[in-house]
Amino acid sequence: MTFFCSRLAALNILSAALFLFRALPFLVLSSFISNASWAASCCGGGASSGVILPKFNQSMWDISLAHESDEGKWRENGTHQKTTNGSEFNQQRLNLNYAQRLSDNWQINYSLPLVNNLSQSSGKEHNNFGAGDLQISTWYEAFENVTCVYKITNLESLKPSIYFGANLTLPTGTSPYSDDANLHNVHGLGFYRLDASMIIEKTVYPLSLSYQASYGEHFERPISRQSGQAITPYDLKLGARSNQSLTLGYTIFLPTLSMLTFSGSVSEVKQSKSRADGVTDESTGFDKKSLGLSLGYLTPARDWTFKLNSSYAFGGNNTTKTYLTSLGVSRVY
Amino acid sequence: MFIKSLLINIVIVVMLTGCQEDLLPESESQESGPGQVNETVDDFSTQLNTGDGFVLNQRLSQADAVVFYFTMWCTACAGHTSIIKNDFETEYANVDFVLVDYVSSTTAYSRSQQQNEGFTSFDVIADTDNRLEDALSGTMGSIVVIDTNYKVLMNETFNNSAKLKAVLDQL
Repeated sequence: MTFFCSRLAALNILSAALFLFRALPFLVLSSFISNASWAASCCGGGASSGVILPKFNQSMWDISLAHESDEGKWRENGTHQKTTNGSEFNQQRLNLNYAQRLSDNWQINYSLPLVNNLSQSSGKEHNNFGAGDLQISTWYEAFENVTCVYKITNLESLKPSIYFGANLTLPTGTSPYSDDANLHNVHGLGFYRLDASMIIEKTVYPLSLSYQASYGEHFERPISRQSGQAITPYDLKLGARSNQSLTLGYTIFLPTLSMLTFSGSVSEVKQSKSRADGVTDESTGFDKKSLGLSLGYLTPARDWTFKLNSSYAFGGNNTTKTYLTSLGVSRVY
Repeated sequence: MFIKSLLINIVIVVMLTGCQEDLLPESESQESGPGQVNETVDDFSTQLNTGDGFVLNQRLSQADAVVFYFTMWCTACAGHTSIIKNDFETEYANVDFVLVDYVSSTTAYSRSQQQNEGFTSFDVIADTDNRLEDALSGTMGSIVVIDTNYKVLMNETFNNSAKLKAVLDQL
């Protein structure tokens, strides 16, 4: 335990000034993107990066490197405001994911981001690295057989893959409320959250359609420190979080029997207003809409998947506008 | 097989998550710095991001209280500042509302941040050496109210307009 504590502590590299709360929207988006990238890989691989085990596989790991850049922010009324000249904030994340089958219809997944904040202000560049919030998910597969088909021949061939999941976010990353938080080392949100999720996917080659949705509640917690400063304690409960995503994919079978999949998605994440000591904080709450494009390559044996993703936020309220690209690889067993 | 897998998974989770204090947050008030409620502060002088001086006793000679809001020019900060501007500035004309920029390293950068945010009607203290941050134990979103007796009437995170209103109504 001590070994792991010291190793995780060593990941935090203190540097000069960083705009602390500019990190928060990035962390929000990173959490959403990791959820939205669950293209159900019932057929092996799927349309984009995935931490959902394909049916009949026993385990899977997935690693992706993401870069997210600050494109300004949307005010509460939806108007866009550019970043101040000379100021820049970017975030890189190495997302580590592992999934393991527990039974024929149950699986458990882990996701841990390693976060690096990069910023520039007043002509100085800064970076700070640390572990983010751990997410643990369990999924129930409400189908017995692979539902990907090449041709619709009867009603049975229309049957989709349906997943029901529960996801717990643990506040393992340094948050603005951590004892040792400062302006530089925020990598987590600081709250437990429990999400209920659902994925419905249907593939009739070469097309696939996927709808994903989740709803989560943050656990209320006491706040006694902020940015390392002791403050008058109060209880804070972040607003409920909801995500929705619709993805359309097109698959090309290459002569080598490997697969190339192109997909486009539209997503929305919303969070309702926070409550402090039971009173609504009117300055909180946000929503963000994004468009995504993905390219995936699946080997003939369906065991390796290589993925390239991009996501562009095109509208929102009270949140940061971002542009995200990621490159990833996964392996199933 | 299922039990073994579950036990391995639990061990992995505990080892990965066992060392972060956010997992078990404390509710008790922790040792705090200067500028707490009911304490009195010394007179101080600092600078605005325009280069002009700011002297507390001069401000308190012209108002019933000075309200400091610590800003990082973040999205939430903009929301709070809008609330102060729209709900408090006009209604409490007897109170001086001042923003404290404790993150910008130069007055020029602080001014550009202010202009970019659009809150140009406010005076902004460029706390480039963090003296005010230290003197009032300020942090992001802190709102501090000091009356004409130099007594701190409020020092907490600004997430409840009703609390600030109750303090200002008693002036």
